[in-house]
Amino acid sequence: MSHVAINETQNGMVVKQAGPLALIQDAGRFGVGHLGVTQGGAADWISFRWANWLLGNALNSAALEIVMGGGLSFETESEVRLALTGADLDAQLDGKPLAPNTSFKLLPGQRLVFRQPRQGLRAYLAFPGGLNAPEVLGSRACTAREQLGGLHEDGKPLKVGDRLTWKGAAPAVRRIEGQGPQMPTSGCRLPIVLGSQIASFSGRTLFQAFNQPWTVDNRADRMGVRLTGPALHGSLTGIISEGIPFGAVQIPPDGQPIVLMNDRQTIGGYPRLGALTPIACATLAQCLPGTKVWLTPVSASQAQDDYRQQLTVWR
Amino acid sequence: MNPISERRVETAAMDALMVRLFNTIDESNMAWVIAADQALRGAFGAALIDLVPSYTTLLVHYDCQQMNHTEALGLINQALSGLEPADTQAGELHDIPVWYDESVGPELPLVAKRAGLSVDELIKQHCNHDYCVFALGFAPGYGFMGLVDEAIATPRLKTPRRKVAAGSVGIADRQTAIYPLLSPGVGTFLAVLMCRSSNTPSAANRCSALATRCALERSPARSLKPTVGIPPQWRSAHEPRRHQ
Repeated sequence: MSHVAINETQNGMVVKQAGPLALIQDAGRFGVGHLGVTQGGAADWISFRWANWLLGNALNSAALEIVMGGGLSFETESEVRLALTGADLDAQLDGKPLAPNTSFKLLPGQRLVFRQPRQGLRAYLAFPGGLNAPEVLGSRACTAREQLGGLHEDGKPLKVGDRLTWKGAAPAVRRIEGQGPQMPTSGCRLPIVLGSQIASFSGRTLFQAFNQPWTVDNRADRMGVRLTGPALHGSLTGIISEGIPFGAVQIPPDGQPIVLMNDRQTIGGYPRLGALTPIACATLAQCLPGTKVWLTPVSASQAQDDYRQQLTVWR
Repeated sequence: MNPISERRVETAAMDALMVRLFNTIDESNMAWVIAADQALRGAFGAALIDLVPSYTTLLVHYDCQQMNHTEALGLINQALSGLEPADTQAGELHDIPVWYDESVGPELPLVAKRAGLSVDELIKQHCNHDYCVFALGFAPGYGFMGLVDEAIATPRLKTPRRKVAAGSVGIADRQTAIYPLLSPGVGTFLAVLMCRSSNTPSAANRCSALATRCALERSPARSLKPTVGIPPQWRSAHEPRRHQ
């Protein structure tokens, strides 16, 4: 196949130092939940889409999700225009700070470094036409637990010496007019659609759930984010395992909610209050441990209106 | 009772509805769950993002750019009205060779002692049985199978084991499962799955349809190598839904 040969001879960008966690992600793996395969995909899907939009890419093009920064650095073999959105990870190009939510040129000999989070947690780095990586079950998303996706098809994060190549040559250069992706501040609201086992929780528990702030715990990853606060209790301790939707807020026996995110297990057996909206999940994915958040009930139809409204910004 | 007339459909998320057919786990549920799975896939077509069936429920994740919550609810009710149970005997029955040995199933003697059986009797009880695949989840291709005889049911480990080798066969309560990937687990481990490497589909693939039933058969051949993980057929032949 000729396009494969072209990709192999194309210049690339090499990882000079690996940070704690940088993963190739796209929108995720859909239509395979019944096989037990998790959804995966960019946790802050809004910033991810903005990154692709800035380069004129298809919005689902594979990009890098960079968590924390931690010294992750790259050098390129040829001039390339990249787009950076999401968290401010104190990214620098040859020691000079990069403006967030813009595209920029990286030249051979220059070094791109991601240092540490100043605002938000996950940055998205998009490449012309999207990153090259083997597609598994319709997606290039990396899930370490399932050993799916990534350059080496093992779901693992980028490591030193990994060489990234991309599909396109001449991307568009766009600027965000008006409001781009916003990083959450303490006290932010996370809209939740109520449902599932909500009726099994007492009135007092429901009052506590929605009328006081929760603290984002440090036990947080792409699978789930634990919130700490007063223990919530219901009449059910466990249920027969059933499908878990994106953003599900489950209450395990210790009463501390866990929001189930992109890499959640497909089925599970703890009672749930409902599920955060996709927009709320994107917000939560950017919350550093210690951030205060409020769970704010919203109807499914209102949540859908807000979601459709969000999608219009990239048209 | 006809579970279809007793069904409840609940909001599960902004763009997901839970169809609840039963309140308890039973092998006889599966004929209805499979029939509902097929009917819902047909009804939603390209508007279906994911459909996750389990022991008693089906989670329908639909595309809210194509329909709203009320329309999705209407479509579910329409798809399920007049549903007939599927013929579960028509599903494939797979023979899965299993190597029972203390070196790979360290809890064999413990489980046998607990059940008041010899290790040989325990193995016979565990493998002379067709198991029904109730649900797939936890890991790709991980099938929740059951039910094992009451006599050899074994409580889950209180603290999950950090690592369980791919191919391990375990019991948790009255269920039994094959671990397709290296993963944590709460079962007690009896054995390791053995599949011939090239022409036999892997465990994950064997359990890739709910209609599947599995018959475990005792295999003495320790030279066989377990082939587990994501089956190559999934990587190439599967045409999943493209998102946007």
